[in-house]
Amino acid sequence: MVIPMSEVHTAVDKDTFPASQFEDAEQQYVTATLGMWSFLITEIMFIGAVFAAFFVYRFRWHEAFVHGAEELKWMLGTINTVVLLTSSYTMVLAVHAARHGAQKALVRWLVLTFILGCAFVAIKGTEYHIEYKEHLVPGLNYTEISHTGEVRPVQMKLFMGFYFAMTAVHALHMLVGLAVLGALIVFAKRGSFTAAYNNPIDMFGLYWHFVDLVWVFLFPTLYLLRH
Amino acid sequence: MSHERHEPGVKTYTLIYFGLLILMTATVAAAFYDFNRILPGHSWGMIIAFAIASVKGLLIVLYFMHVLSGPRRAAVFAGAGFLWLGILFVLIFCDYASRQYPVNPRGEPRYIWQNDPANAVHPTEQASHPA
Amino acid sequence: MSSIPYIPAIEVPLPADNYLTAGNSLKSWLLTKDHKRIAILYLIGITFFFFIGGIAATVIRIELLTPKRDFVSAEAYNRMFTIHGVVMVFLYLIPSIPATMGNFLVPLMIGARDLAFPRMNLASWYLFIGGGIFTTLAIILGGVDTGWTFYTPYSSVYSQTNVVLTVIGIFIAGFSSIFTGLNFIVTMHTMRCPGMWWSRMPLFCWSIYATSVIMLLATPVLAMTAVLLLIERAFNVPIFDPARGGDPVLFQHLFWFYSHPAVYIMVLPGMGVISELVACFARKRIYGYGLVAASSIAIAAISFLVWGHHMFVSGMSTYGGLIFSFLSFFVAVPSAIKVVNWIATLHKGSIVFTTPMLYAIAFIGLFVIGGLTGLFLATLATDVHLTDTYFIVAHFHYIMVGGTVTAFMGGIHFWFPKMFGRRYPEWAGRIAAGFIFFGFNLTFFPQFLLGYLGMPRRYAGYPEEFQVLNILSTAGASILAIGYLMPLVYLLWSMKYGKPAGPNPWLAMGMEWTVSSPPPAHNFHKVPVCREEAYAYFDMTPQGGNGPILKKLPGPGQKLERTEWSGT
Repeated sequence: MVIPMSEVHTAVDKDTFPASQFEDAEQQYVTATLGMWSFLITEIMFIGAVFAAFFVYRFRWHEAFVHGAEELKWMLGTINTVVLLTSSYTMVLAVHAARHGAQKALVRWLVLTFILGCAFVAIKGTEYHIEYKEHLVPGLNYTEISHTGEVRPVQMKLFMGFYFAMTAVHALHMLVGLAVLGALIVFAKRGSFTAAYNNPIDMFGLYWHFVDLVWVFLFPTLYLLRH
Repeated sequence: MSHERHEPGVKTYTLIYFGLLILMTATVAAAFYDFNRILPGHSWGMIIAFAIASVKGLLIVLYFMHVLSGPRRAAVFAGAGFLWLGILFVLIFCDYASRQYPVNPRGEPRYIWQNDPANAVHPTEQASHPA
Repeated sequence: MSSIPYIPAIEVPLPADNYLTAGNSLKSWLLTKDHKRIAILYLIGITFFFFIGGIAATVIRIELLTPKRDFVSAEAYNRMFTIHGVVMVFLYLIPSIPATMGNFLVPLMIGARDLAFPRMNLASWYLFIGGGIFTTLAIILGGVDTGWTFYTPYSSVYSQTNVVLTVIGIFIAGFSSIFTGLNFIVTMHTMRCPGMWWSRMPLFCWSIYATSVIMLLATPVLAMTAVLLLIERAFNVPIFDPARGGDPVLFQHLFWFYSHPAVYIMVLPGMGVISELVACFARKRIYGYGLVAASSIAIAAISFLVWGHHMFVSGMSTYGGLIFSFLSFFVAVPSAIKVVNWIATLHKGSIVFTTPMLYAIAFIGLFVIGGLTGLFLATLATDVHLTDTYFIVAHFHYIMVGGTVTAFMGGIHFWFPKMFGRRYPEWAGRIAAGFIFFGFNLTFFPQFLLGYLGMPRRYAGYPEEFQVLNILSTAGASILAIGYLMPLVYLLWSMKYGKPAGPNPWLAMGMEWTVSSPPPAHNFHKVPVCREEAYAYFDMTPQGGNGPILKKLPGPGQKLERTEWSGT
């Protein structure tokens, strides 16, 4: 295959599909998929490290961590889980629509995913607000004695530290995801995605499902280990 | 595009979704049941919670993330990620599981912890924190 | 150069249309997507940080000339060795060969037009610079004194220095590493040209692949460790503070889970470079190609199982120590396989002692010393005595400096004509190589003795009886410094005034040598097709008569049979 010299100015031209470093769309799709999975692997190791730390301390300070789990709002957490699972469902339907070139359906499912994602963040914010009121936030207003007068085990501060760190990092990933999703909705409305070219939707779908996957493990770890 | 082996349909996705919701209900219900009463040891609740979460995770990875139906290399990458996570967990826990702590007069493991009542010596001062 | 018997002096003009001339504005460099330009940008960055780290090392060695703490205060000395470690490890060694030579060569070696994600490549460079800026800022504002290992609770609670700034810098630079690794892995999976099977890829690419696997899987754990450290410092959460329930050993587990594989990130690309150099300058294919490729992957995999050997005396369980010690012996095996294969390649080869070859041979010797001393340290019983002494310092410097930096220098000299289209003066190269080899050994061999005799590391003062060895070490360091400054001078000079090199001045095999020097911006005019195994060296000596070293070369359209190809 000969590339005409007229088309060869720089190593990679402005955005074309397939992009100029690729031979065909299939190669670009496989490359993008492997690239996104490689990124998700790094996220697995990133979150895995803090899970490992959490479990080390859970084994060590069992009482304090059980106490901490009981302080969390499991009802809000459950609602959030439902919301996030549903947003994952709508996202996979969006990917399905994109692959079949159904633009209106794609936009619809993407918007639904966005709304559900925002709902998740809003509920999380509410939870944080309640926890702030109850003086549970280390570094801000954590107190050894709760507002009801009971003495908190000393290492519960550690538990709350992990709780805020893990859920905040998760929420940050949600926010970044929502920002990208917003941009994708704009592009989808414009008709940028067809049955032939829908890699961004596909790859964003992988990312979104991964954020959901992390929550699937985060939720029982933090909220549900009450014994 | 024809790069999928057998792309799941909307019906499959819907089934998986409801499966996930059912499993979630199960895990929340199980959280409130104290398994330590019927089975010895601390950890049964955690094992059950993690078993359910793993099944949920597997469903998401295999179906929603198209690992079963997409390029095979993606499945290898996904598997490698979880395998390495396993390495991290197993070897770290090997250390903590095999540490030999001294025991206090009650026979419980005694981490040299200043607030431990078994350590009935003069409590040390709280360390200063410049940060 | 006429002094080298087999490589004729070629006088060809530089190609007018190459990646260096394609755009002269600052914007065309700072917004480039060309992997070759990004490699040059990285080269500038890491050279800068190498000299920053070198300045810190100079202060250390000057202080250690005398037993008393008289050149700098103890606090300043702590900052010096910390800065030396942080800058050298995170801002020089980790990116060095992958980000410069890997970026430049991997697409060329596999016949691709660019990496899989060119914009991500550029983002990697900006993240590297961003991380470097934070770390430099921390240095300017007074530095850090925790040691490059940031052990808690000193770093998380008690240290009054710029821990937060430095750790943020490392965190950002870590993402640079992750994206680079991601790019290489995906590129090698999906962008090899037709005919470039995995089993035909140059061993440099195999080692970059293995390095990238480590970068991808280990660096995020460092990132999370940095986050937890920052949370502890900023929000007073006692994650690693034993006085309030934390476990400092947990920090060490998480830190070393990255940092041990990180040392393989540093050395594996060096090994890949050496494979290329040895093949070219012994005029022979690498003996046991399959084993060497597999050993790169094996090193990457096993490296994740051994981190506890940095923690034998930390308070980790003894049983854990036993497991890690046992596993640590296994990681030496693939490295030894490589060394044996290189030596077998040299056997009956037609060896040419060019500058890159001098570095390659130095690498083999110095890496063997470094690796063997590692076995003393993997053994629990001896490590208890040798840990935190100068034996450790000497061991890792033999690998990192005697290994990685030597390979880096060898690779830079080997591919310099390709990257810039010009030759450097060979006599200057050989003299500098001599200075470096002699200076290095004089610097670090006495440190083995010092460590064995019990001198602890990270101490600004020491007992009188260690002074002679310390003086030898500092003398060696000054020679080493001259050795490193020389290439800076003559290579920079050669970039402008060196003799034009032509596409293949070393008569090497490999796809990168089939394009002009410097390469065109788009690498290949047509998509290349790979028709031969790696290192298909002919005997190009006048005596050999241009006949094949390979037993039977296939005709056009015929496939190279493996059985005909094995053996010299």
